Amino acid sequence: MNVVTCEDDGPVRVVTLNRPEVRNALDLPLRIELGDALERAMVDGEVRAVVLTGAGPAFCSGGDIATMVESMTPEQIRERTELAQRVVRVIWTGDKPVLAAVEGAAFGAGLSLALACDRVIAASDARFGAGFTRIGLAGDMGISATLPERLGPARAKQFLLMAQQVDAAHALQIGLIDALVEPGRALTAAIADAQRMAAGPPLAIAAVRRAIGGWPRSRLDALTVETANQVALFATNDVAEGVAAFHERRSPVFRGT
Amino acid sequence: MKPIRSGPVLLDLDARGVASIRMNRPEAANGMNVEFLQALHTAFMTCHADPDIRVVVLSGEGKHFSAGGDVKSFAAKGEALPDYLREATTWLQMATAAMIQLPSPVIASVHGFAAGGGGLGLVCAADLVVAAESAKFFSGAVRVGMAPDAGATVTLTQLVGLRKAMHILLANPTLTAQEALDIGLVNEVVPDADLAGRVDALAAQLAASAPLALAATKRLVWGGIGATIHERLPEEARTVAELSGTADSREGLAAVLERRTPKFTGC
Repeated sequence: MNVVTCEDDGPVRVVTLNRPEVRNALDLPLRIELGDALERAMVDGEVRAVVLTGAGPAFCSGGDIATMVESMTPEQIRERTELAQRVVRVIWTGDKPVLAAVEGAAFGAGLSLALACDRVIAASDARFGAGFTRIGLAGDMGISATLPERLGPARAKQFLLMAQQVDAAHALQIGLIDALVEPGRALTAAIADAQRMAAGPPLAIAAVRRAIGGWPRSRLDALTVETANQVALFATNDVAEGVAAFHERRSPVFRGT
Repeated sequence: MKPIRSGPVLLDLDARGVASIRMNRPEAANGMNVEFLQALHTAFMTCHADPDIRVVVLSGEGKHFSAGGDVKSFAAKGEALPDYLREATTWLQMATAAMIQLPSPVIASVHGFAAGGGGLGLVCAADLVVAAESAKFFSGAVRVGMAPDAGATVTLTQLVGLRKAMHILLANPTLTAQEALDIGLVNEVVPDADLAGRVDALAAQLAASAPLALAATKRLVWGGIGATIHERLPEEARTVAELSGTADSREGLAAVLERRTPKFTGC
């Protein structure tokens, strides 16, 4: 059975972690398959947005402690870690938005994976935890960048140092996640949001992801980046279409050109 | 593009797409005052607006490239100097930024003195620099009790390293063209009589190159200052993939295979 499955809902590619028996823990094959699946989605011209979710009752329980063995050499650890970092690198360097649909637990690297996405939608009974330090680790898959982005550096540090766990309502309140839905509805809601992004102008969406993804940057550098985006986007057909649709009071049809 | 044929900064464009911006206050060694700097900014912004421009050559009329800030205008301001310099520096910095952000490469053609924050600063902000054998480079900002501008505190350090940049900016040595070449401040030194010809040949070469590729490369190199390599790797990858879809890229690949000179259109 494939440890990652992919299914298209129009322009939205749903990528599912498929090891429900271990709550989608990220062992080596899953890391590789997930990276491959996301890379394919990023280069597929038919795909405009990606939803990442987990099969079964949990989103992802983290790094699969069962497959961490003491005998692993530093080289093996590096490879194992880099395969996880690659997943995040693909999300961050690709041009398409990625949304996380979280049911149940997003723990450890599972939380990192959700936070690496552009939008996190969770069921109201979902739980989030950063237990890295409980097993003597410090966190991977971008958590040291995404957690301070979402919570601010001081609260991010508390979260990791205290190995905190929060429920979905609290997570929404502190900005750890972006939306709450009823249990069982996370995927449906995420696909609906993804469809909305997929109908948007792909080049502008990619530019927004790059402009904000590079945060923190100096405010004055941000002005320069904005100017470059403005210059590049103004000449596109999508802006012409957007402006025309605005005047004609209709919905624009964007093509990414 | 409408050429600028009079005033403190001249601008012209030839059929090859080579624009020339000539600083034109020879009576003041192209000293920079507010009026001059506004004109310099306008010249670069005019280049921004013209898609036919492939390369820009920046040079000075008269005996010097530029002496930098116009000491006479400055001294005449008395108590009002700080306000005047705030205005002057704003225009200088905007001209510098416009030069760096211009998609086309900028070649500085330097003869005589390139001095002061402005003169030396513009040399540092240019993408390529060809100097006449007798050209001289000199900072001088601290000599008049001021500090370098036009980005020189960043660009000069990048070009020659911190140790040498400190010496140039703090101790004001007058560098010969050969010394400037040795430390990497300029690309080439040519006999005085050959300066215009060599700059024109270099400009012609760049004007015949793939404009989008030059623009992307320039943007990546300037954008790389202060960035980490891990940040820039995806940016490079994205740019290469994007450029590979252009007609010019297809033309370039075909020309290599067919062993002929490519003909680029900027598409």
